[in-house]
Amino acid sequence: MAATAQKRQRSLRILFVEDSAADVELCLRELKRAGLRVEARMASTPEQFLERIRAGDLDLILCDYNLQSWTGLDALESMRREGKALPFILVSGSVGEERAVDLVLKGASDFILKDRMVRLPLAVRRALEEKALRDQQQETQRRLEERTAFLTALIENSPLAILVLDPQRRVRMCNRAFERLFGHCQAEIEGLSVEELFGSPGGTEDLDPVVEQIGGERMVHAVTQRRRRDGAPLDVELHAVPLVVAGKILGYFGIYQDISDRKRAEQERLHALKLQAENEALARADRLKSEFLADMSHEFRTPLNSILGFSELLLETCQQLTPKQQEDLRIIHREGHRLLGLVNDLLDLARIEAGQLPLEPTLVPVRETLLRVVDSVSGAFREKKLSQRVDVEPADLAVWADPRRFDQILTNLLSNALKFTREGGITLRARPASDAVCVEVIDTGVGIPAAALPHVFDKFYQVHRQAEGAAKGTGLGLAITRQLVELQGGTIGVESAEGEGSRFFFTLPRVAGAGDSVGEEGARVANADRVGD
Amino acid sequence: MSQTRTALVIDDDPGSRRLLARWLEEMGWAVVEATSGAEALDCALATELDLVLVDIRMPGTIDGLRTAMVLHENERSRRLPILAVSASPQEIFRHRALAAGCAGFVSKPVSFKRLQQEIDRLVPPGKR
Repeated sequence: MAATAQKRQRSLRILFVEDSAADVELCLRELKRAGLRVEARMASTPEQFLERIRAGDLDLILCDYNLQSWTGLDALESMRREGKALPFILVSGSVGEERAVDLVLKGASDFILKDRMVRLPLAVRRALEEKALRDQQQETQRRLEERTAFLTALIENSPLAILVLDPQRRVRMCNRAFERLFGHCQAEIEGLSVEELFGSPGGTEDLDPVVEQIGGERMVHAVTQRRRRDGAPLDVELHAVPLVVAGKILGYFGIYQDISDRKRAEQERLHALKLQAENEALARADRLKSEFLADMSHEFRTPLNSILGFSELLLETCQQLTPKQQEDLRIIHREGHRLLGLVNDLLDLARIEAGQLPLEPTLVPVRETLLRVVDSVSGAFREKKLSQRVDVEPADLAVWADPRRFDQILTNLLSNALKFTREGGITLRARPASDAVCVEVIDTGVGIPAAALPHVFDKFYQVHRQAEGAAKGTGLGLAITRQLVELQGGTIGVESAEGEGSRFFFTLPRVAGAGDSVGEEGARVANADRVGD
Repeated sequence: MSQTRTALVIDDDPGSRRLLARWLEEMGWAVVEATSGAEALDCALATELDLVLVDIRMPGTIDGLRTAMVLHENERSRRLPILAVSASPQEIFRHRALAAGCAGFVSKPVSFKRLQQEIDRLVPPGKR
């Protein structure tokens, strides 16, 4: 080694622990004769000795056994107390064999008798070589320990759970991640078989594919379940590999990865797919249903076309009809119209439910619309001798809605009120309500029993099922009305008590009008329109 | 009234067809009836027509839309006003009818008032 070669080239730094300069001289001569270059340091008292060895630049110590106030043994022990391990050769006039053995045991490298000084160079060389060898061994040991510590740290600090089995498949060691993952403690599980360690959530066959195949030299990969210490099953992905050295299996090395998150995500994905499929099936069923209803509507309209058309044609063109026959034809025509109303309601509902109702919202003036709708049924008001009133404040209120659908909402509510009102009257009132316009249809009719109130907007629901002819309907009108209001961003409701009339009200988005800034405190005179009786 | 005009009524439903024919006759029209698109096309080529009323949904390969399309594309019948009549009143059918070359759309059950308005628009009374 380069370091050794360097050492050889420079002089040996030898500390002479000696009282007699003549003896030192003697030694130096012997060494020089043997071709060793020496740089001598001297120490005779324990203090000097300590000072010298603490300097740390010595290769070897040559020490006289018998010193004036102390001995070579004292020096040797003093050196060891300092934690130094320099080659230490004792030189003495005479010493017993037992003492010599004792000194060597205590760490002296060699022992030279003064009358055998010729041996000194040899002893020095051997001591230096031994020292070099010892240093080398220590270095090797140190590296080995360092490497072991590194590998241990590698395993211990691995974020993956690691389990090592012996060739009999019993636990040899595991790392901290493994302890954390399974709740085990290495000390408790050492020596356990794999089956004892994990139990077998799915029977042993669940464990064995991994363990059996591991007999070969291939790596085994499995997605499986293992039990934790508390018995809970854990989804893991396992990579296992036999530890083969020189054709011999020394054990098995397994890495466990917690895949419960992945599993959960997979299950959630499957669940979502299933939901999606179900939704699609529902949507398909919905589509079929609405197509069916639209077809039905078409099939209803075709014969109605003949019934309504021919009855009207006859009434208009046939001169020979008696008044009674004319009345009969009118009944056919009227009932045909009623049937058409039903078909229209059904079609509307089908389209609403299929999400296919086309809406063309625009700015709609409220007062004009209310007046026109009331006017369109003025015949019924007259016939039943009911009063009517339209009250819009401010007069220029406007909503954002599909005008045809706004008409339909009002017509439905108004027909409903007319149907159930025998005396008194009906008021249509509209007022701004923050971002909306609230329209009310108030009647003095029979009212709605409390139990029925929550259901009046349900499909096919009829409050007065037993009511006579005129009060019959499909039970679709209010359901459609609610849908039409909600589809246009409004809400609908009703207040009523049996025998005390009803108040239906709905909102639609308001369009800011000219009267927006005024009329807050009711400063304006109520702009009520009486449209006759 | 100078000269009798002729209308072709195409509808597979006998009631609807007969109703339109009867009403048109009452209004002073001469009426030719066809029960299918194919029959209608034969008629249209053989007869001098002033107006066509066609049902949109008809069985067979040549439904009302197709009939209107062929008539509209044919040089001879290009200027012939076609009025679509359908028991499917949805907007989509109106759009399809207009796209196929119909000049108007009336839904069933027909309102005679509306029918009259459409015919007056398509065949101005002065020209009859």
